[in-house]
Amino acid sequence: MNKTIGIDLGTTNSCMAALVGGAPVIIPNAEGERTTPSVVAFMEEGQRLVGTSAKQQQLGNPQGTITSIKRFMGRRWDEVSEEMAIVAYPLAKGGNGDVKVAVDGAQYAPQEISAMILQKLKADAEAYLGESVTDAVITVPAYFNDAQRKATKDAGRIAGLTVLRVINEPTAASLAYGLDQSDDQTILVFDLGGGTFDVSILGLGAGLFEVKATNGDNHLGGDNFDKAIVDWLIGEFKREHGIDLGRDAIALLRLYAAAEKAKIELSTMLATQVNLPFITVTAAGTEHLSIELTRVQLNRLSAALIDRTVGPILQALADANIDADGIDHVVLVGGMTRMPAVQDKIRELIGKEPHQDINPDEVVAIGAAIQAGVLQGEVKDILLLDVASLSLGIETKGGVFTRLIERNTSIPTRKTQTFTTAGDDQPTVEIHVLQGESEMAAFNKSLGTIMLVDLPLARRGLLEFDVTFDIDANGIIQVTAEDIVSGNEQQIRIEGGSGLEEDEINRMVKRADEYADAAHRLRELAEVRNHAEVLAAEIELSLDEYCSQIEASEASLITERIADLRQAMEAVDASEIRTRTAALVDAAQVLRQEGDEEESLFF
Amino acid sequence: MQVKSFIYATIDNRSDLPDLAACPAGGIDAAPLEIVRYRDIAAIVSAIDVNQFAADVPGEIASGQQEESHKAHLLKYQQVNAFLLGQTGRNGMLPLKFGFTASDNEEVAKVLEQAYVQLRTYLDRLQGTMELVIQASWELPKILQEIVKDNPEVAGADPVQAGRMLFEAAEIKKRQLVAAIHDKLSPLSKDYSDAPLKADSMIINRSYLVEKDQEPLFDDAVDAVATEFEELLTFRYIGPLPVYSFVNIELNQGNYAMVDKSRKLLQLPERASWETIKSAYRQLILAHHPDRNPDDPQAAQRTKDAVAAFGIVRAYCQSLPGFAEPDKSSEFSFAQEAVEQAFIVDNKGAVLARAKAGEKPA
Repeated sequence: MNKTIGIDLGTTNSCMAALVGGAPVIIPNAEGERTTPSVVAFMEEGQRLVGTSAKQQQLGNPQGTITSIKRFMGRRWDEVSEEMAIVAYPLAKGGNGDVKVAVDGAQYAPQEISAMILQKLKADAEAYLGESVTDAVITVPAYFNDAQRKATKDAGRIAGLTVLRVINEPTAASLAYGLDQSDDQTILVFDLGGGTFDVSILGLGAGLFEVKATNGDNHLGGDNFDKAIVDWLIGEFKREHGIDLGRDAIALLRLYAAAEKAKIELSTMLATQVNLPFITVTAAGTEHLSIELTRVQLNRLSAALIDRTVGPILQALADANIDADGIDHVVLVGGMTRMPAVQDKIRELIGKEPHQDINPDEVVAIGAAIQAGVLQGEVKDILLLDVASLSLGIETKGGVFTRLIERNTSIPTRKTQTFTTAGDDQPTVEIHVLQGESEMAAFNKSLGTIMLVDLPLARRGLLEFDVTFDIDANGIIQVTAEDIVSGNEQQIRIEGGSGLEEDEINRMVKRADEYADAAHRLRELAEVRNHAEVLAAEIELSLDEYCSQIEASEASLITERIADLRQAMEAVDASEIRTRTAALVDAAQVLRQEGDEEESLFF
Repeated sequence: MQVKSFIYATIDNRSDLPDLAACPAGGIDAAPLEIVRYRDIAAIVSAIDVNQFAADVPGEIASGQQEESHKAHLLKYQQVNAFLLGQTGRNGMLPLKFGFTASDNEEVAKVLEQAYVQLRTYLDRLQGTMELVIQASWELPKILQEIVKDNPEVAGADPVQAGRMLFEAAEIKKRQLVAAIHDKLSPLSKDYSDAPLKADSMIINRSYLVEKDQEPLFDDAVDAVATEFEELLTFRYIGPLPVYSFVNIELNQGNYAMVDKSRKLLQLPERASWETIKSAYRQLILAHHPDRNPDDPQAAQRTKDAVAAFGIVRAYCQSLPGFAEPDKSSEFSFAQEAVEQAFIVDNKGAVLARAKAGEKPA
């Protein structure tokens, strides 16, 4: 059986884990890091970088460096104004209202960019584990809606991974803790990551992890804290120097990087100095930024953001029908939970000391690996019963949102609703499907409309259809309609929703494959060239040393073949280089015999 | 003529009770208002002729004359509740959904007993609060003109494109306005709830839950908002009202067939403790979850059935007095008499909506 890995595909960093000998371990990437920055860089000549190398070159290539792509997954253009203000790379509106990344003279769907990150993780995992990796469990924020979940699954497909399951990040985190399973326990998971905030409450007993309630804020994460710091730095600098750094793209990127660093430092220190020499150039000369940021000041800047976590926590407690006293364990997830002010807020609300024994950056990936083990039958004493995090419903008269499946219903679940025609001889019935918590349809996320067409002529109310809404264990929705009279069942596509069409995905899979091939060829070419270069240099050296001891014709043959090889190395045909390398080695055998008498020179 | 007791509201019984004689002209059809007490809560009721009243229940087809009387009844129901809101002061007051009747006052007391936990919880939570409603409407053509003025490129675009851009811009504008109004009002309120928009031009119809002593401040905030958006919006400010939008208690008589079917699906005996019920449910999930049965296509359906059955059994048990007791060993009876006597109360009404539509007990 192929190995299944668990992947935490994060806004800022991604992390992967697998079960090795029954225990979950973090898989380091090719660079040896336990987490991989979720950054993709487009370089000249179609080269791409993923991870730390991509992050490091961001300053020199702000337009071609894609960060925080998760914030755009499955989102529509008109939903992401807040996100657009944070990123430096250009975005475009796709044909169906989706967001596209415009880079490198092409447009990429966010799913493709995520797939590039997944491709690297897959390749690195294969190298580390020494076996092929085809299946994965990928985590998503609990508050991800149907479109965002589908987009994540599609990203996996594009990267050549079969996504066995999409699971909620806070739920995965609770799996990682396993906790003491003898008694019934109630766990609260607080997950503040780079881009999203989730809170989940789980009941644990007899090996069953049952999610009771989940809530969150899709627009709240570490990036928002960085922005608050950057805005403050810009304000301070403007006050002192009268210059608005917000207009300078490069300065902004440096400010964001410095803000993130300062924020992290202030988790352990009480004050830090933000130093950005040569931040900008004016007619008066170069200006340097040097501002002290204290933890007190940071807490002041982030108080409003931290307060945004309170509402979702209280709502989740209310939905789970439990008081703060009823929480037995608090689990922290995401780098932002290292911030002392965040931890203080949790202590204040729940009155419990949070667990911190597992690294909050790794806990989700570990949980995903455990769920992968459950799905493979390798882990037998754990079962996860998750919930739908958003209510599913339809638009009814007057723009009202009518819930069919309430949020926090255990999944998988299914609900059937009977629809009928409202007018005589009505040829079609249109059903607008939405997800969200507002009473008004307009404020919820539209998943699209279902059209029942070619209806037979009949008086109103005579035709009846059972429309079944099904949410699977991934939290992904499927709709089927049955004509009650004829019993004809049909699978309905939800039209007009965001997301990729089937043939689009296939095209992207191909594009990703081609790139993987090309990247593989490039790597191979580099290795062959490298080997040839070293070899030619060494043979040249020993030829100098031993030319007196061999035939002149032999010497000239070697010289000629070195030249041949060097000529081939200028081109990109790896097999030609290999052939000529072999020919050179062959001709240089005579040198080897000479050399053997002293020491082995090469081969 | 068949007489029943119509319940207007439940109130707190711990301090002075309202002077019902002061209510102008009594309850529906001028029947005198009465108080039915249970422990520290009480219901305000009046006798009503059910035959006349039947058509008042939503969903039934009504003649023109019946519609008139329905309107009169609804108005009276609102008047009584407004009166009670004024009388109860800092104490809790909970309007019940229009149309709830019990066979007599003894039955009302039983409803209070059965639903005590839920009613008490709501009363405490909503103590000393009132509902204030803000409605705002705009003139769409005026807004669109303004958008065109701000975005001259729209005029140049092709008509379909321009129409879409305008619509999107108006939608964004609407959200901004609603958010601006909400930001001003929500700090002074404890909660809010949206009601359906009554016309195309209406952009917000939102009820706020406000502490009674915060009312003057909230009034000022509404004034300020109305002045700020005077040019763009027309406001209506309604209230104070009883907290209709923040209570969603539906009382339904137990549906034996449904509870019984669910109980059997969970393989429970006729009496079971909450611990037993939970454990039976877990065992079923552990046995049938698709993650454990990857090759069985029916596993997902069995899991879905178990989840639904547990939801119904839980709602039933939560409605019983023993549920809130800390001693979890008390057993719940699933016998027909027990279920049919129980009033299943669910704060979402979700399970019950189905109970209503499903097989009704004979």
